[in-house]
Amino acid sequence: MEISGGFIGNNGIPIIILAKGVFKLDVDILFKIAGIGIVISILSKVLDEAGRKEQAQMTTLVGVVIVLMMVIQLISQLFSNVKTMFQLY
Amino acid sequence: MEIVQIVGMGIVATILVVLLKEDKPEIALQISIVIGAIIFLLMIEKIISVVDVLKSLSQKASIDMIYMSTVLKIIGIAYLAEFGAQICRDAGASSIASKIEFAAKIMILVLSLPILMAVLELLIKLLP
Repeated sequence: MEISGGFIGNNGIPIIILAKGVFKLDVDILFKIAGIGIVISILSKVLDEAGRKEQAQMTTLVGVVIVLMMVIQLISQLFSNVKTMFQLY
Repeated sequence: MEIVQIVGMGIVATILVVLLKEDKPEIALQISIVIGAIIFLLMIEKIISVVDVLKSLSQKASIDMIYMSTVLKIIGIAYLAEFGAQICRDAGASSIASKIEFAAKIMILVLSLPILMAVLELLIKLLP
């Protein structure tokens, strides 16, 4: 993860280094995930009605994997921030 | 008025979770994970300043840095374990949640053992 900048304490010791993109308000990922969920659910219903059970299942699986890719990035950002902040190495 | 943003985000996320829970519970769960992470990342700046103040206070009081960092580590482990356990419990896997909490308790115990030993040694020295 890239490092954007650190806090320098009063005595010159660098205290905490934050990962990039921390202070941005990124709510749009929430709407992205919800949109993917709605689209996937409609698609799988349509495919189910058309009698293509396997393809409906595949669509669900692909949707879950795509969402998981986005969530994992956020979780790794969260974990690295907590690790640097509380000095858990 | 950052609290308004956070409350609004929470309400919107709750509505989305309720919307998606019937058809796709797995995506609803991921939305709840994301909202937890976003709220924490928004609060991280303030937590950093609080931790900074605590550190400078402990330096002024000339407390050994190892005790301060142990306390911080314990807080971090407790927060992460709580985060994971609540997600597991939301998804209905409360057995996994209790195992995560068990592991966190053991880790906190291991971290706090040196301080306990230091206290005990001091006590033994004080006693005649």
